[in-house]
Amino acid sequence: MKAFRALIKKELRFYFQSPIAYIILAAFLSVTGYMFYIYAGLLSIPGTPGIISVMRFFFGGTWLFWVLLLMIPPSITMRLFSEEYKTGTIEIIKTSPVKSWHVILSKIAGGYIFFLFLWLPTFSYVLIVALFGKPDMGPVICSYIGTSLAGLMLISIGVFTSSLSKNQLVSYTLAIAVSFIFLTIGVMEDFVSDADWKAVISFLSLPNNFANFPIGIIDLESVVYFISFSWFFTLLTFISYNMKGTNE
Amino acid sequence: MTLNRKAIEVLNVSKKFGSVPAVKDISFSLDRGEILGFLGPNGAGKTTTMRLLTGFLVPDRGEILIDGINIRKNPIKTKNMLGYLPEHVPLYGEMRVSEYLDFRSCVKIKNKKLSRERISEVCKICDIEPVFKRLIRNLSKGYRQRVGLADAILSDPPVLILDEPTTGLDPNQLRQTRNLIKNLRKRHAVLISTHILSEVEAICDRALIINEGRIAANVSLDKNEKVFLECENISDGTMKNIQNLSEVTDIRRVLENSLEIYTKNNVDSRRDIFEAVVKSGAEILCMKHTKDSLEDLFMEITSKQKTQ
Repeated sequence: MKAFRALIKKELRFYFQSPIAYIILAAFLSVTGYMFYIYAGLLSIPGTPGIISVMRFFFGGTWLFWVLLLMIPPSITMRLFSEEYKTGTIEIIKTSPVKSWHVILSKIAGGYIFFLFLWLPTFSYVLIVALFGKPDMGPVICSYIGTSLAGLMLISIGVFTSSLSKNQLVSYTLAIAVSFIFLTIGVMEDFVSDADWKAVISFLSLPNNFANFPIGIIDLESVVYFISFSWFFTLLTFISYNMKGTNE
Repeated sequence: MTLNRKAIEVLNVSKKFGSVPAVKDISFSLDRGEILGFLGPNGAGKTTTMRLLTGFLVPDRGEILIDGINIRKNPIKTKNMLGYLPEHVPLYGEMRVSEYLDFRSCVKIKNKKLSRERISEVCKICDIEPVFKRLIRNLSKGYRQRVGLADAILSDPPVLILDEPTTGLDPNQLRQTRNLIKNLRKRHAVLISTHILSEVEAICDRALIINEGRIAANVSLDKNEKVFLECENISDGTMKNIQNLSEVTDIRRVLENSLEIYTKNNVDSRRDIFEAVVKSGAEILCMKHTKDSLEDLFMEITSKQKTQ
């Protein structure tokens, strides 16, 4: 466990010591701040339904949220393995007395902790809403749970694509491509007439699985969806990581 | 580490990259307290062999045992017994030397107190105390090399694998590093790859010459110091008298009147040989102390295979 903790600490150290992490943080806060400003502004427009919840809009209410989920996780994960392959430090890691699982899980944990860290400042938006009204906290908490589950899946996708290439740009693009499929596959539902296929597409769609969280429902099926796909991509990373060693 | 086991045992190991064979059916072993030099031209398979030994690459065929334990069956245990300095010394440039060694000690050493002790010990041994708080990316090549070496010996592993540890060092650093490796013999079995033949002669007990993925020669370097002797009336008694000398390791009859007597390194045994020969009744015509040149042997082997 000491080695595992050291590996996670190493990943986190790079996030908080490198300027890229602060650029990601700045970009994230700019976009979420802008989102909050727009949604809060909606309240002052005459004719807006009184029941409108700013935070419900914030989490998955518009495409801005999905763009954020599409772009941010790959930018966090792209360097995790690619950088190690490029600089050759993977040789140090692979010849150390640590299990492959520990290496992979430490990368996912490092990226995921940083992803969660990015969302911390958004609590201030909740605070502002709470100051001027009485928001229903149940849906807000569920939204954060949903976002963290979706984040785990997208981080796992990013770590997997990072394990495929020593080029960070390739890793980033691949992560965007795979995440894009999960985020937009729901659109295909309209083009398919077969009920079974519709069900499959609906099952695979990330926004469909996220939809219940902002209305305050934690759907067990969706939780299983996010955890299963996170596990699936972790498994793919394990295979890719071990294959890379034999054919380098 | 058990006394009767070999530190490293490589048995019929082969490795291909795609269809290109990199290592072809190699076998060798390394004893405790021995420094083995790994020689060969570029692309001969030295680094691939070292990567196979450290578990970075997996062999297609054959077995590798570290202290009798199969690396395939128990990778974590065998990696615990290895200290490895890779070629080009990959390090985390964003870390300070102190942070890097702290990270490595957490990965390799379980006991926290021992970790701290070992870090200060390796800093002294490798003379990296002046750069302890500096960022690795700002270090010179020589210091990077020494940080890599400090990492390799950090957990005091019984087996060390050093891939070209002296590349890029200035003459002072070169001497220091060579002395350091020589001293490592006391506690470790060392496998070292290098292009510098004089380095192998200076610090190694034995050299393996690898060419085109095969082991072309296994040269015992304590046999390369010899006395050439030309004398008349060589008898079995003469041979026996010479063989009985403690510093003599081997004896070969080259011609009817000539002998090549191999002696231990750095020992001039001409006086003893003279007395032994005279005692047997033979008459000495000429006696010369020489050294087999590893360079000649290396050139002969590597160029011979090229022309074949």
